[in-house]
Amino acid sequence: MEILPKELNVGQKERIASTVIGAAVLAIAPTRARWAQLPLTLMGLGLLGRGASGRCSFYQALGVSSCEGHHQVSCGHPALTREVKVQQTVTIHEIPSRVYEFWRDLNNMPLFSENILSVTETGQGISHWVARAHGLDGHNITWNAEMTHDDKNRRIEWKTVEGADFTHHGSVAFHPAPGERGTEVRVVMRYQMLGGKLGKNLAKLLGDEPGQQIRADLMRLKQILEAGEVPTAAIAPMEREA
Amino acid sequence: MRALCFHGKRDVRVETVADPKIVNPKDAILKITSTAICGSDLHIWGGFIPGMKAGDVLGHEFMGEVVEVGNQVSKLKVGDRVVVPFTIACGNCFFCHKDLWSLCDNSNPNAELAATLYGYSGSGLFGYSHIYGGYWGGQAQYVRVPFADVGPIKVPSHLSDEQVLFLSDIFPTGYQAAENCNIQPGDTVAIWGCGPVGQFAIRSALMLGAERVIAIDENPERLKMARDSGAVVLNFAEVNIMELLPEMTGGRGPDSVIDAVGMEAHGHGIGSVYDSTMMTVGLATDRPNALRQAIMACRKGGTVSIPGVYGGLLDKMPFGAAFAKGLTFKMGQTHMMNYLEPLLRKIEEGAIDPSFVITRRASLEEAPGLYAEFAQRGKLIKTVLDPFAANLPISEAVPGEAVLAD
Repeated sequence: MEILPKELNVGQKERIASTVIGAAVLAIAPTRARWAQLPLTLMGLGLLGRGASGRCSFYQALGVSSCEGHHQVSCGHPALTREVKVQQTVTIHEIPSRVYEFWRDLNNMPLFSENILSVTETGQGISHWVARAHGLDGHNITWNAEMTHDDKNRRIEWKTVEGADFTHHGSVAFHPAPGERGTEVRVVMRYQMLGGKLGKNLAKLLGDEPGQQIRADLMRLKQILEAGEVPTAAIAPMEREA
Repeated sequence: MRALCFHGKRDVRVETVADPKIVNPKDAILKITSTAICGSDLHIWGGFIPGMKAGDVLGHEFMGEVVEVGNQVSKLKVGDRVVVPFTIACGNCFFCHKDLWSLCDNSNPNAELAATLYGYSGSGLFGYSHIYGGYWGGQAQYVRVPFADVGPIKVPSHLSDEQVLFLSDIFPTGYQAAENCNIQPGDTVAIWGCGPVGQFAIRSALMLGAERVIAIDENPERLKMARDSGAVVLNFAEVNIMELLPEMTGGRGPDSVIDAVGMEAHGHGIGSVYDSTMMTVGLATDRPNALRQAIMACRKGGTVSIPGVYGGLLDKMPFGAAFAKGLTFKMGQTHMMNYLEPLLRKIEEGAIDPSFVITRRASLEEAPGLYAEFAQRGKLIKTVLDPFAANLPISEAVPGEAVLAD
């Protein structure tokens, strides 16, 4: 069902060119013959789209890429390095205290967070996290996090401490939804999107769209708390791991 | 096990595949004793449902015997005889608590995919594409049933498979369609489509107190069955529906209309030609000719009830007419769990014998040919399959096996 290829496959210079030409084609489209307007508009939008996204379905189909270097995610220009804010919300049909307590027990984290392998509380509000990084040949990434704020049944905040493989800070808030609709769980995370090997690893950890992984994790949290299990269409237990 | 697998447009095959196993603690495994082909399976067969993968097992109307349960199943035990509703529900989310079971928040593992198409995802369904979860269906010898305490209903041994099988989908679906019409004394209900869901909608509307049901189709066998069910029938190939309906209702129009046709309407006239063309060139996903007619025919302030399945974007919908007449629209997958017990009681009381709709009995092995035959809309209205019957190629099937309902 993918419309765009997952990985960037248009190089930086070509992205700029694609954007400029796309805009130009869009601009001239209304001045052309009637029959040509729709195709020109579509062409302009297509060029703009691949310029903005860095992804081209035709390149994908042909199996080519105009990216510089071997690693396609390194396509991003250094100037694009920035702090990324990711925010996701889900409503869980449970009272805030139950959702808070489940989250607060960090041992539960691997149950609903796909990439978290283990969390160990080491005392004084510090916890040690081990996460899977897809495409890293089985290597894991680790960090220590400090709980900077713990407002029972309402809000938890944390930040990573020096030396983390994945430097970030975040918060989770538990608001009662109106009319006894349960608890609105809102997660906000901020991290540096870096270049280089580490940045590439993080991109793989967090997925192409950073919010998507958190949304999927929140869905699993909801499924566990509401349905008591994570639904699957698998027909045998092994299949799920694959 | 043997199972009917999807392989592409108009290509389904009965194959030997792995037996399903318990995966989650609330699962049950069923040995299927009876299973049916649904009109909505034809949408898949015809290639109109996106998100299908080769090897997917079809079928969402089935019943059987519980052969294994997960360690958190408390209501079912091995040996229970159950009918399984085609919608899968967790039983504990906001929507399940509101009795909106087919909108369950949790039962679709691919909710993200469905949300991309529809904004939010409905519940998971058996054998109905990966958009609805990718669950294997029940045109097979065994099936894995998630949330086994929520969906399946135990059925008493004195009722035959054929009497209770259609609790799995078409009886509740036809019933909900009629219930959605909010039928008042004196009401006329017009129903487009006399396939199995239409047949149950006819009987349900009469059970719910409709003064008169007008049933519309072009297939003589279906119209005959509709007449036997108590409907006044109109053959749209022979008469002008849009002239006759006002005439039959004192100029008012039917109080409510039911579209039991859905996305692949067949019809006559410019509308149906237009729809087929648009679908062929990929500019439309659905062929909503019946729905257009139903909206135009409905009286002012009436209800349009839509049990027929739609998948995507509808073209040339007379929304101005719907607005001008202040119509109410009710639609969606059936909230199955609301209907299983009350409708089982109706069967037990003898108020209805759902087996009236069966026109063919066959083995699972014959299913691919029966899909093709069903698509021709000939004499075949409803087929029940026995997944464990010996392999009888159609040519060697015993004549008289096909019992036409009285």
